[in-house]
Amino acid sequence: MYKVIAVPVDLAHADRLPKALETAARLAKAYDATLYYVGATTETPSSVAHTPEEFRGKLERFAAERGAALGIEARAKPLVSLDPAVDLDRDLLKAFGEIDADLVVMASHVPGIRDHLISSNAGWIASHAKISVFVVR
Amino acid sequence: MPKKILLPIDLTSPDVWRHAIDAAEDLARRYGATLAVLWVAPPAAADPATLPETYLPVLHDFVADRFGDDITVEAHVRADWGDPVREICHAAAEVGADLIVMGTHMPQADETLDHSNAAQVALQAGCSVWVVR
Repeated sequence: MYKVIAVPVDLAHADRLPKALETAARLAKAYDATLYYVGATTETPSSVAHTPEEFRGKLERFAAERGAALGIEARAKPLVSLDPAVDLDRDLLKAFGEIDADLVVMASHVPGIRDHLISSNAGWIASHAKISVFVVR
Repeated sequence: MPKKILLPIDLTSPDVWRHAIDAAEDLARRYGATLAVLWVAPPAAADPATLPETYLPVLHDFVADRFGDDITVEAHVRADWGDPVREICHAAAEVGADLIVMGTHMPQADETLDHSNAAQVALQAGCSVWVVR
């Protein structure tokens, strides 16, 4: 039913494996879909990475580890947000389009870029996306 | 994964709900979840007590016709007094659903906001919501 599933992830807290990540992984396995971990960073250094390149490497390693552990095809989709306070939700929508996602699984509030105290709002995404959105609470 | 799935449908426009029904049925089958089908219907008469008599037989027919015996399905009817989003969220709490699966019309243009009930339920529900497009 679904081929490409996207799940926004906060690398600073991904080790806790919140419900959204688990739900996304289960659905990817059930539908034999590719799971994209979508992570947002900025041009400026954060607690996760000093540069967008370092962030990409970390996200790719995370996806590879999760994919191997879960037995699913997992990939990384890093995005650089110039102004996450304004654009994060819109940047996420654009990223979902770039990977041709047909389903997004996300917590009702995704921390996103922790250092900037910005969160993405699943309600906004659910209202604006053209694809299916699974809001996990 | 879900134990009880609330599936609001409107039997007057089943096409809108086709994908949602498929998705909910598939989840229910995979995870052994109970499917609670809900019809938020306009009150047929001033007395809402007559609502179940009017709509439940139709909903039961639909449920019996649409779903196989391998999943547990409940049929629920609630009166639509102008705020179906509220009725759906309340129904989810009442039946103990941990997931709502809802169909919606697709936004047409890039900047079009989906004002559908599904998007509103995604905002307001106390449990997980799957907006199926």
